[in-house]
Amino acid sequence: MNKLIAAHFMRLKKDKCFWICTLLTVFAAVFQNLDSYFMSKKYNFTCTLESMFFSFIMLMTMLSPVFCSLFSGTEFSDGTIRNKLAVGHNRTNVYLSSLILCGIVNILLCIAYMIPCLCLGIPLFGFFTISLKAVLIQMGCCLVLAIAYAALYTTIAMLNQNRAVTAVICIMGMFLLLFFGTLLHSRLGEPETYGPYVYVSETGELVQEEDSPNPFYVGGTRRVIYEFLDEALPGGQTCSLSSSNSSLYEESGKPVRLILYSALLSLLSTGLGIYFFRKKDIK
Amino acid sequence: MEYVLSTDSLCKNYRHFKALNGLSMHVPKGAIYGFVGKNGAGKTTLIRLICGLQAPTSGEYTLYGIKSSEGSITKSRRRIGAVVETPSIYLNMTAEENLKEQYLILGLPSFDGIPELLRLVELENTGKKKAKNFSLGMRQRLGIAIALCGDPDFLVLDEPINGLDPQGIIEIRELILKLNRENQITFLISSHILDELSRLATHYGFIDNGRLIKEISAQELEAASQKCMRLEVSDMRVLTRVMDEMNLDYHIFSDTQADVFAQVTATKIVLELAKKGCEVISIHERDESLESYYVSLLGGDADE
Repeated sequence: MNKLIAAHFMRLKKDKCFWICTLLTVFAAVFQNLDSYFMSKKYNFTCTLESMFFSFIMLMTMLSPVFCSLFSGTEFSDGTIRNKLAVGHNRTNVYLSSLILCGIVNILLCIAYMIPCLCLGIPLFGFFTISLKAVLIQMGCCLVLAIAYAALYTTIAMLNQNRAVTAVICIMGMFLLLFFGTLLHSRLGEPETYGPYVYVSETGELVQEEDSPNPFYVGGTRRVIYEFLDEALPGGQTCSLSSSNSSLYEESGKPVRLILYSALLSLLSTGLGIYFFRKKDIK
Repeated sequence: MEYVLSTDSLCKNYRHFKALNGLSMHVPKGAIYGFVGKNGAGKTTLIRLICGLQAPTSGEYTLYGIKSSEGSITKSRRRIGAVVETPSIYLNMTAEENLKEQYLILGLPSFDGIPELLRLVELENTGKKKAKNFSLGMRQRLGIAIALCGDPDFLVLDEPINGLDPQGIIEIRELILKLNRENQITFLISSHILDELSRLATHYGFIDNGRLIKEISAQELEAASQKCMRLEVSDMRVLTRVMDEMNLDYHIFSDTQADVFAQVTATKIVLELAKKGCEVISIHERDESLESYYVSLLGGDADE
């Protein structure tokens, strides 16, 4: 498999899509830091490094399906996967080498955001205001999620021989995952009650209203299900991890659960992917 | 005889369609094996099976003495190179980069052999030109160069001259002959361009509806072929009368031309015709071609 990975890396060095994605990520990091700095100066509010540092996971989530589908899809569109199989490489190794490459690229995209963000962010906003342990825990969750995305998109790319269809499925899939993630996140973020408030009635009297229940609050078993989906689905994880998330280190079990769900998704999609790829008739 | 590849009752089904239906064939070592058949006869399917792109539904094949059902078949595949259908090349890479990629896939220790390979397929002057800008012939030659990485003993080429211009066809033919003679590489070439195949092949396998109809060497084919003379005469009625009197087989295909299937001296026929006042305008000796052998064997359109 080392031979296949070495060949992938040689191709990666020349891959335009990879370099465009990396440059976009670096540009986004620089832009977000400078924009936040100037906005905080203009409107006089405090901006922290962690408030933008974890945006890399959202950016990686959006770029990963583009890269993975095009890079792995080229093997089928150019027919070069035949060169690997015809000279005796077994299918599991061919599949895993693609997965490893996509996983590494996802992590590289994260790093491509982190480095300029730290280089610019620390002089502009100072160091993290949250503990380093919390930062590392969230980064760990993000990196496992990056691998889960790679596993998911590799499965789609390796089981579909049409690069264009693969790209469409992966990108549509990403939007769907993010859509559901955002939806779940916003519903779970609804407060249980509206706080007390005071208003002037038509007669000119001051009326004070007590707490009133929020009809959009999700409670009971539905909340348990929503929370499970929010943590288990990669789209939900992206929404949770893309901002500094205090609940991550306040709830001691949550990081472990996020990592576990991502690892489970990676294993499941890779297992199924390899099983079907081994049986697949390649043209 | 030592065989590089032999198949035993090989079957491949695509749902209810039988692409290969009990195919048994034998490719001798050092041969250029012409695999002949109509479109959809099962040529490419067989090649896909040999290359490990697909698995047989039943039956098995033996590659360099290792059966396809054995796990070590992947090792014997390291001795083969293949160009299946279109050349498998990265279009956004140069010829040299494509070869480097294949060298890495094979785990070869250095890129030293690449300039020689590029010279062999006459792509040494392509420089930084990307493969997507190559002509079809250049892509085909690059595909063969990739298949040649790692010095294979057996090269499988699927329709290697399809879509090539006359110059491209000549180049590929010469390359195949050179590799076969100088490097002793065994070839399995699938094609339906029979005229071109007849200039290369030392052995033939005729496939129809997923079955091997006939396996024959070029020498045996030549021996089995009928000789014929094509005559152009002034009076076809006289010719037919003379042929009937001489008890010779013939086939008329125009008002003035006919093929006579016999190994008689031309003088004898010409004298008989002259006696009856029929002029012989031209006379050519013709061997029965691979095409007519194929037609007589399988029927149908020869160019399919």
